[in-house]
Amino acid sequence: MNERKAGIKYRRVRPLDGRLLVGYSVNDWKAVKGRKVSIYPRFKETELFVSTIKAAVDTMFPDARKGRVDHYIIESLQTVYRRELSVYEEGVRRLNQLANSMYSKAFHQLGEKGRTRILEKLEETEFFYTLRQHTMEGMFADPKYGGNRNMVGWRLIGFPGAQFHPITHTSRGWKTPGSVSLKGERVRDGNNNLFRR
Amino acid sequence: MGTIIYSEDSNFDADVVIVGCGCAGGILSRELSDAGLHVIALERGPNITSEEYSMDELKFPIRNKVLWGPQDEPRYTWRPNAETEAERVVTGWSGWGPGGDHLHWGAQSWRFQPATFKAKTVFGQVENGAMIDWPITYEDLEPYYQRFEERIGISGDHTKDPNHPPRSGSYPMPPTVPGFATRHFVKAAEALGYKPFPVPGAINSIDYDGRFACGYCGFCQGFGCTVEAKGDVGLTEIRKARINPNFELRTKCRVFEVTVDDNGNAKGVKYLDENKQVVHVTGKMVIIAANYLESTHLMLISKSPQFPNGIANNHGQVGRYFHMRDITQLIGLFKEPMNAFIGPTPRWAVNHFADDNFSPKEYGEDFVMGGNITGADPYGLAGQPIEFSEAPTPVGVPNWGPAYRDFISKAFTHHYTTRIYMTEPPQKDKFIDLDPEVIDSDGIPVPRVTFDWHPQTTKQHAFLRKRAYEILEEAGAEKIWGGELGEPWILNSHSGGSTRMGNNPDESVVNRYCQTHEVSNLFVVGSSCFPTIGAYNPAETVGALAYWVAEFIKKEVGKGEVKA
Repeated sequence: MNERKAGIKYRRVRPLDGRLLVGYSVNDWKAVKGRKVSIYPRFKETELFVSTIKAAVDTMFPDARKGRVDHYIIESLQTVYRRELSVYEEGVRRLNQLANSMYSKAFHQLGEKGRTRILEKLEETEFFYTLRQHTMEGMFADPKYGGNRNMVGWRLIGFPGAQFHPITHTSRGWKTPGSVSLKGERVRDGNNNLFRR
Repeated sequence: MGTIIYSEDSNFDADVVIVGCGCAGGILSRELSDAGLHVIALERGPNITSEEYSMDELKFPIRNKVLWGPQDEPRYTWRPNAETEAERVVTGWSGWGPGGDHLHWGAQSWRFQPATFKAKTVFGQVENGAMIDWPITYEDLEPYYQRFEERIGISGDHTKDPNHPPRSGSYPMPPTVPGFATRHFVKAAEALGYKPFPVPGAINSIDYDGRFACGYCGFCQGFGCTVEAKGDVGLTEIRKARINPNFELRTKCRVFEVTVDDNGNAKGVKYLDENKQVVHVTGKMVIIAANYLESTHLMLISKSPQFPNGIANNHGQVGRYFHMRDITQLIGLFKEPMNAFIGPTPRWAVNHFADDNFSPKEYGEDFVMGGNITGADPYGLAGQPIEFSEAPTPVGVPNWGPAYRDFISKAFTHHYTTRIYMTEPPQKDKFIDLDPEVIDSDGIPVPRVTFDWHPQTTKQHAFLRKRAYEILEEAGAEKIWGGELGEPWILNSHSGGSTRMGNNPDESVVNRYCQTHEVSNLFVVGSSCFPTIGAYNPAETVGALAYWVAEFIKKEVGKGEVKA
């Protein structure tokens, strides 16, 4: 499914039903249906795989590593996103192949410019789409899922997290002083104690 | 009209078997079991309770856990017209569990305007159109709209709506408090001469019926409410029905056939239970209330010698005149924070261009029926960040990398949208049938949808988009983008027509009481009965229709036709 537009351009979110509808061509559907998914994934956390994912998410969204997005993705691939594993394996292979042919290096050894140029080449692929979606999830989902560490994603965009809002929060110019996770952890901006490690 | 004749078999499991326990099925469950009938409702989803609800974006609208069926199952195939083969296979089941799609709804609770019920008389016929007047009027449904609003708990202020039809009472609760973004939108709309008003919403502005008031958390559409402030049929009617010993709810049951006796009366339904065992449950009458697509599908796959093309389909009407309307959002980016993610999903509306509230001709336009506009909604459903990351970016802004990071770190808090809600005339040659090739994991052929926008839709879209654009412009947005017409293969829940109601069996499936013309003890209730869709969201009309049908059945039973 690499470097093919098939399937991808038909993926869309509806602002109505709240779920991602996926539309395949009939042939792609047959291919997807035939994809094998094992209960115990054959996924091996090789060093190359991990460092490639780390570099890739950071290229996709700077700060993603700070939020441990790579951690979120690798954990998800062993559980809920097993189905996507083959997409990642193929994508990682392709990233390194391109890095090797263009710069004679592994993808994670490249600077931001090189990594961006390579990722650009894959922009229309299922791998890119999936990586982008999962990077955003890892950045902005509740920290209990392993990403968005210390709520870096939420603090970056000013999202207060899981909380009720008193009427004062509907006043002009209100800005959240920090964020709250589902477990009730709080991070306040201007007091980075939690943030320091 | 429509005396109910029952199967002559004697050992019934129930008086009434209801397929699908969502908005319509849940209401019918409560009404009929309260009336003393023994009701068995079959629900495809598991037993969901509000204890599972949380402010967790990944779990609810992103991974679609809890409130939705399996997302890797094919739900339907699509093609634009009957001359081509299916072009898309679309996966992802819709809402399930007791309450169905009503559980994740956005809680906009509208009455259709009187003109929607008289669509052909008011708007005339369009090219290739299949517009008809409904066999019922707004006045017929009015008491049932009121009942829905009181039972589910709707907050609103009809006196602010410049086009509100006559009503027997007010909303049971005052509207919720508009957030800063909404007040900003209202000011701009008023400056343009419109009369914006609060969208009626199933949101508790005060404690209501044992459920708490809204806490403005914003985890609203796409979620179940953690304090139960968002009213739905699951929290109200179904919960109450389940206390009644007359009512039995069976979950994790997938119905795949409505069975008939030798005389062609409905006898019951067959379903696959949790362990994929086939169970036959019989009833004196059967009500299909399983979402427009699944209801139509169930009729088509229920084949028998009496009904070789699907139950109650000997006139070839099941699936015909399918239509759906689009909803789309324009994004405005502002200098100051708007925080549109705060507060419940229903915002304020400008209905100046809805239905027959204006004349397109006066604007030099030749489309019929108008659409509704709301603001200030966040992008997506309820405005959480992962969904916002799926929003289109303005021209010149990439959707990844450092420039995107900078964009989203401002745009998330500094945007709001105006939404346009269009109308779509039903067409003669658009329909739902069975796909000849694609089957789901139970081996059942999926429905095939043949649908494309009517040619007038692009004109109506351009017109409404311009109006919504002007409001954002007036509000002082620095950048405005998005709001393109959606693609016709992306089915949403605002659809009608495939089992439409009418007086003539040659051009409709059910009569004014949603009773099928061909099988007197079979009813189909849901938006598929709508001959046309109005500018307003359809859920409350689905609910009102269910109360209306329940009233008819109760009267019939009172005649002694059913030994309850």
